[in-house]
Amino acid sequence: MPLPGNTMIGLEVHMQIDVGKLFCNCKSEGELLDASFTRRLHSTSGEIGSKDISTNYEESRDRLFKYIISGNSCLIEADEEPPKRINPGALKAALSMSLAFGSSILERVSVMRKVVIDGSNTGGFQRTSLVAIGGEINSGGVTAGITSICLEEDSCKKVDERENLVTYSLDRLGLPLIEISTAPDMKSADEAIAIAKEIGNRMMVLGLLRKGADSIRQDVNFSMGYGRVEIKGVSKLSSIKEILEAEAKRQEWLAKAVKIVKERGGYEELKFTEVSSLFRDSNSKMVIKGIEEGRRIFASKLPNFRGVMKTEGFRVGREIADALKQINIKGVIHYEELPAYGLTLAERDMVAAQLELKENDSFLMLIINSDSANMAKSTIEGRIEKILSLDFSETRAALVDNSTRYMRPLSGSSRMYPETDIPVITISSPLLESATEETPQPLSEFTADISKKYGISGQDAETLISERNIKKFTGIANDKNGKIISRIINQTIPELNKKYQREIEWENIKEVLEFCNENSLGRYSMEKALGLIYSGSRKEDALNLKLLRPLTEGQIKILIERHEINLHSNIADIMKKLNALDEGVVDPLLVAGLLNTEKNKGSN
Amino acid sequence: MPESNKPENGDIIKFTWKGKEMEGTFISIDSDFFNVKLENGYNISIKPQSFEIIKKGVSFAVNEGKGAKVSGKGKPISLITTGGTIVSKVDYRTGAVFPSLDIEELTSRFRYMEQNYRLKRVDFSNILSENIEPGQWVEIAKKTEHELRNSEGVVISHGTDTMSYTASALAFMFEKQMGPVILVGSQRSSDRPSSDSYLNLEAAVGFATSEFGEVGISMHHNSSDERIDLIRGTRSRKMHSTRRDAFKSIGEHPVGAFQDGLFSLSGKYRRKCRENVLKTKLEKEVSLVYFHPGLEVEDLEKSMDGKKGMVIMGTGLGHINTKYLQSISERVKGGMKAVATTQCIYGSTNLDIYSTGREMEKAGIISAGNILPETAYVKMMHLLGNYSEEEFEVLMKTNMRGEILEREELGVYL
Repeated sequence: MPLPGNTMIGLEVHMQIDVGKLFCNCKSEGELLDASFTRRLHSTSGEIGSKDISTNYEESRDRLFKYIISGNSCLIEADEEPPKRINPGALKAALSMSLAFGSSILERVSVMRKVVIDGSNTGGFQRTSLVAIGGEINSGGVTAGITSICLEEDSCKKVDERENLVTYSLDRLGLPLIEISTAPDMKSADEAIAIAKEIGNRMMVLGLLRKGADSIRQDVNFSMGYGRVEIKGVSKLSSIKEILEAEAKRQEWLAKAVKIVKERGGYEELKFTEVSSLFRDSNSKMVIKGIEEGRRIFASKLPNFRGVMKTEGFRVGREIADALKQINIKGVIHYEELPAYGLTLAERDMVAAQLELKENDSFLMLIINSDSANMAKSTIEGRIEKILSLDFSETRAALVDNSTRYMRPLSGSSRMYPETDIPVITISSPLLESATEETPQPLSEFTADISKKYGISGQDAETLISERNIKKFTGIANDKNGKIISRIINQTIPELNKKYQREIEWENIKEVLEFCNENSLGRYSMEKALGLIYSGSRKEDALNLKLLRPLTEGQIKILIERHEINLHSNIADIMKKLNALDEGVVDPLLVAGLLNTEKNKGSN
Repeated sequence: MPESNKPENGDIIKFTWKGKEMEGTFISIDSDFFNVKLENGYNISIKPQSFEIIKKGVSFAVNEGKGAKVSGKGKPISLITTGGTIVSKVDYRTGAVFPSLDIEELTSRFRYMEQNYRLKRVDFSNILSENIEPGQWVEIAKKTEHELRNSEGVVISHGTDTMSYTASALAFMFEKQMGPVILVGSQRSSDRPSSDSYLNLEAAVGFATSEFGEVGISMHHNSSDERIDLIRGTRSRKMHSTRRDAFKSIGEHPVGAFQDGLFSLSGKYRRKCRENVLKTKLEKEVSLVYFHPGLEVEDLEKSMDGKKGMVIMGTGLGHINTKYLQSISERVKGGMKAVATTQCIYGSTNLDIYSTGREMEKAGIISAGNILPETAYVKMMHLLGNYSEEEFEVLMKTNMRGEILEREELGVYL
């Protein structure tokens, strides 16, 4: 199904930068440790003195949050120490990205707190700062204006979610994110994909994008005339299309449902009455368990809603259930879905009779504690009234099946207030100059430049960029060793990682490669040295000129003669024997040459 | 800029910056930089090319001291506010944190609190605790005594930096008390959703209804929002600059704990009495000196000039460089009291073990045993203010308010 003609799409692209954390000295990566703590969060007034609707909403859920400590977290992530000054590398990266799209950089950057009390930030807020305003992104004939470029902290990763306890880990918390928000200038998923790709490409050219599946995350803003829906957490670009189509379909059916209900005369206030007595002899496990646990059954007429709750593409039932799920009320049952859950048609009709349902009416039934009845009622009414007013604006979450689920109302501006622990940051001219020098070029230009400068193929250059290894490469390669270094990074290291099932820190690998460079040792020496390190040798032992020196043809010949190596066996065997002697690095090409000479001798 | 044209806090302004026309709420001006809140909630700090006020706005007035003074329907508890992080709100104009506490916000948060307590807020002052002087301890004590007569217990909100000093001072001043006196602070200000103030206060109010007839501190047991410790004031110490569990009960288990809305007391404590006996005299001419290598005799001399007493924090067992002993001995002969404590914080002084210690005793220095240095300082002020010179040494070594540990258990250390 194509998207409607009045579709407007905007993007918020979040990219993790691999420069350590934003407000402390922790590294980008760290294992989870066997230690945790728990917290509760309370909503507070924003700057204008009012609480934000989305934060009030979270507080009404009253949940406990558990945080698993990671090796790359400290007191700052645990909200036990105020933040340190902003990471200059992260700020510089945000400036370079702003310059790439002609966005105007603010002379002073103010760090704000965005209140988020779903537990994803230990402090109850996300630190975020506006770095640049304006500019535009062009990609394949599509142009999108930029509304803002922000530098913010990433949130905790959710590990587990139960009714009243949500578990998060601290490893991701505080990683710097560059957030680029566009105007709603895109009309189709393809246009959105083109723009998102261009943003991601520039970030890869900058060379600081963190490795990992969730290093780029998109929120997609979508509207087709019923208000803006913010879809959170679209991790794959390829899924944008399907997600938006599903969302357009959902809104279309919802609008149809509203029309039907209104034509029938609209809706009246809900009146929940207890109907537990009707289910005294019920065989439904859900009912039996609910009653056993002290819950009661309430039902209310839902006038004029029959046929739009769960028929064809109509899903008003799910809209109500999703809103209730957010306040931890599960299992709302409506007329249309029965018989189900062990409840019979006879039971349905008993409730219908008691509520005096007319032909077009539906009902809602809840098995809940009487304490939560009022909360459930106001949640359902709020949801229905908003839908009937054809205002579908809200925050939704993207799901793995490319559908979306209601998350919370859209957040307003009153959840932002200044971070009082960090003074306003003045962008210094040296920082701006150095950011300007590193402004990322378009990907194709950059690839061509790298390929030319280092004498490597375009494909090798692309691999270095897309695998986030370009900074590593340019930090060590020159026009002479470019080919060898790109081979080591693109091939040797991934092979070694796979063979030894572990990764070695780049700093250590770099030291090995630099040692080889300084001593004019070539590819085979580098591979040998790296092999030694991976197999557990100490650096001091591996970086030994005697072990790593390349043997000349003459030296190889002498070794073959001294150790009576049979030159008539295959080359792999000969190489193995020569390598086992540990006399130096053997270039297989030289051995092949010797073999050839030997063969020729034989044939003479 | 002409004064009349100057935007005021809260005004909606339209302005041009780098050729872009924008709109926002004016907050403040700081050396030509306008601080403006944009519609999306972000604050920006820019030098506008031009601007105009399009709507006079309502100032972001800060609701200082707002809210009811009395709230709830249960047992009467008085809450004396003295400032500090626990009652902090943000002043959005300056970004500074200032004291403010709305008790309704506290009681309305937990339904049971409204049912169980009748909280009365008594505003004492809005001072940061580093600015509190011994004279104010006396004022707080008098106010507390007054409130104890009309309530089950008194909770005092206090900045954490000198909270242990105030707690010790109140402990010594109250020879007898009609109800618990609980000091409570917070390490994360209450403008943050993650503030520890809510739970610390909830627990403090709980402890204030107990039989505890002493002065205690109600703060987090560990980093989790789970358990709050009741720490005896004279054994309390702030051991971390920023953590929630900064306050530790030194050398003994906390007297009580609060969890899931319920408190329990377990340690030894004095029960509340039928009357208050308050001794508010404090000798202010007392110094607290931290010994360190390189401390010159002249520097120490200056710390003793005009003083009636000195607490010196010695190393290990309480030792100090013997080169000071002659001048200390002369001062002691002249009537000054000298007491040695240990910088180790944990453990006791003992001047019997090494020759240095014995020489210190000969010079007239009194060993404080395991009294904490800050507590010894306050105790000295109290003793010199209320008792005769002859009684000093005996009382210093007498356990008056739980400040001395009769025995130290192996398991109570860090």
